[in-house]
Amino acid sequence: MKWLIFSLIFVLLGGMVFAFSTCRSASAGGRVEITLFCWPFATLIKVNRERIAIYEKEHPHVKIRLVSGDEEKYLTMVTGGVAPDIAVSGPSEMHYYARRNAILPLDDFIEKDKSFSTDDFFPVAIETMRYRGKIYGLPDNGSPVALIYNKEMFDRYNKAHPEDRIDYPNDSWTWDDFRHAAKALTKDLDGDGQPDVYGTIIDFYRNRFPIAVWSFGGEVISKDKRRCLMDSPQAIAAVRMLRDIIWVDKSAPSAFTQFAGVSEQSHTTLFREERVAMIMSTRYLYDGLLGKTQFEWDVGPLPKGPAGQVSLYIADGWIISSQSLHPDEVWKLAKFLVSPLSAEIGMRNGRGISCTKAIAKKFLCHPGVKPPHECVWIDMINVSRPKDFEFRFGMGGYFSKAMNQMYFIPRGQKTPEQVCKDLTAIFNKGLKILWEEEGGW
Amino acid sequence: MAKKKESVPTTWRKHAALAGYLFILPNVLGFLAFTSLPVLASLLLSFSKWDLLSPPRWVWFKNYIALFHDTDFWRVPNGYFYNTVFMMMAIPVSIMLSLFLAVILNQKLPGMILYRTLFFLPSITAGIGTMILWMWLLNPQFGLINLILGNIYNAFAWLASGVGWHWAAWESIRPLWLSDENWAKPALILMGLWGSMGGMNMILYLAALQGVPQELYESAKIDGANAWQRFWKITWPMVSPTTFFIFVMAIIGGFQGGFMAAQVMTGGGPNGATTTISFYIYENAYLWFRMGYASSIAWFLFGIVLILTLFNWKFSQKLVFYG
Repeated sequence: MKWLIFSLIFVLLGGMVFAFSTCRSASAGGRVEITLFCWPFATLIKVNRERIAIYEKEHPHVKIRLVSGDEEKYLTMVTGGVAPDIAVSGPSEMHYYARRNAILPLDDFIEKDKSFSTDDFFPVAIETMRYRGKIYGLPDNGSPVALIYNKEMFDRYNKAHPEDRIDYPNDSWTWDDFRHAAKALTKDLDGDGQPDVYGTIIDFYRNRFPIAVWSFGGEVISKDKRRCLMDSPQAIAAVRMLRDIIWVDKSAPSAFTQFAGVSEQSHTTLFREERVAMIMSTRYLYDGLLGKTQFEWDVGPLPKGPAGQVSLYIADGWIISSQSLHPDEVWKLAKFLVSPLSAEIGMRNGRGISCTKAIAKKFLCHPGVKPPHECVWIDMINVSRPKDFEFRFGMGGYFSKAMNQMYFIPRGQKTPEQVCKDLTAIFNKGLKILWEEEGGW
Repeated sequence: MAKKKESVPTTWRKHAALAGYLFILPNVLGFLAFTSLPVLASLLLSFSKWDLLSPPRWVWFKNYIALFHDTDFWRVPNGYFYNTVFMMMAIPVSIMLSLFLAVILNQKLPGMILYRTLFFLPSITAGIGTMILWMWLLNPQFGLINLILGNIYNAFAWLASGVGWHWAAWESIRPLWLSDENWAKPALILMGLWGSMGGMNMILYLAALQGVPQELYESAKIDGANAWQRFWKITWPMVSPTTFFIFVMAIIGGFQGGFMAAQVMTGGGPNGATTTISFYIYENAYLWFRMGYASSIAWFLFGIVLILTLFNWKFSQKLVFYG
């Protein structure tokens, strides 16, 4: 009989532990419990822990539970009915959740709350958070793409070639200037006919090629997001220019590892080892550079094309779940997470650039900061566009299949015309699914 | 009195049995909640369209029909089914290498434990780390493999040029490994062989080899059998149950494999050349949120594995010697 009683107690306890562990956050003992979800990056967790500690001290009636994980975990929590009240999200995911009413539009909160103004943020950051005219996220952290370059490689070249001096990247640079510099800085050290040091790397793996397309006057998709426009003459000319850097000038590696995350590590490593002189990248690359190089490097603006200078902006923001039991409390927290105080914590810890104008300028635009031309990031934000062409979801995989066409360029297996034609066809196939089966983006 | 003596243990046995059932109840409940029900749910989901956030819509066999018309899945070469089967072609080689290693490491020589440990190391090393290491090794421009191959090629090219043959420059013919759709699968197979030949299969073979009675070898030797005859007539049949087990498990694992390499090393590319069935399931489920379609692929995969395992069981068993 004792066995039976013990067994029953054991089962009951197990059941209770299970039941409590799956319970969603709510009010407990007069305190409001809020679940905050963020990606599992050490820096991000550290930043948010610091912010939470301050917020909880200032708001003793609020208890914040930090949960970290990938998008899959977030989605599983949403599907399971225990969605985190507030979460960090990228624009593609945000649009997807907004389309399915999983998150709240923030316009009403913004309108009612006089202490909050979207004017404090970079316009492109707010634009990134917009879906079908409504704002669904508060922008926290982002970065445009700029040109990070090894100053000493420029200096060494200029010393060796006083007749053909090349300037550091600057605002007057066109794509031709960029190509000339990249070619000049490419070197075959062992005389085997193969460069050992490259002028640059053309990154086809994280959908950065639209920078060239836009600056050539082309578009990836139409404004109504129903048609891919990569088969336009301007887009083809831009892709041809990128192809020529690799295959005609031979100033960028022709074939490289495929995968985005690791590819970025490889770019950083190659830059750090002085095997590449210039890389077009976001400020997130700093993690692999600051204090890890033996040479002087700096940041410069992107080259101009026939349609001017354009950069690409990536950002993440805070979204509020429509399942949240305390939307007003969560809004207050969201507001705090993008406040100047929180933004400072973010910037101090080296994550991208705060989307708050004043804080970004405070950290980047003053003498004594290293690298010296940090303020270029602000200039680049002002000429940036969001990734308005990116539809990770709802196109049945056709988006990534379309983008993968670009890989044929560094492999030299298709002409720019063929790549643009195939990319357009595949993209349009996906857009057809998106509009006809999913009801739009 | 005798009746009472009998009834006590019966009651005790009943209680003990009940207690036993209660003890395994949490596990059974966990199995039902986290394994059986999701499996059943995935079967139902395979007949529906579900993007995780909207309610599922019943679509009958539409997902299965779509799968049979999915050109990316079926195309040859570089379709996802083709990729999976292609990479499984390394299974016999891997089994042979494991057996070869086990035979060598089964010798009673000093320091053999160290060698066994060394060969087993890849199996206990973190997968992500070794994959990143292999990415660098396979890097077409800066990797060690192409550096070595290039030097060997250039040496032969130099010798050939001495007799008037002019070979193409190494840079124009070097394998691009993970960056080339024709080389990506062989590159992953190469990495897979490195990891698998000294792993669990080798351990299983070592155990099997140590179970082969020494008298068989001794009597064969007396009868004049040479080393190859002893291996082919004694060792091979005696380890055949192990070979059968490894083969069946490798087929099952092979159909489910390739996910981590695709996720870490190639993203399934280039041009889908390293996307296996399991990675395609992941892409559909968690990158494109097509849970219904992903479930239908998973059940299709289950069907294939089941049929092949039954086939193996029925026909391969005839080749197995149970002594």
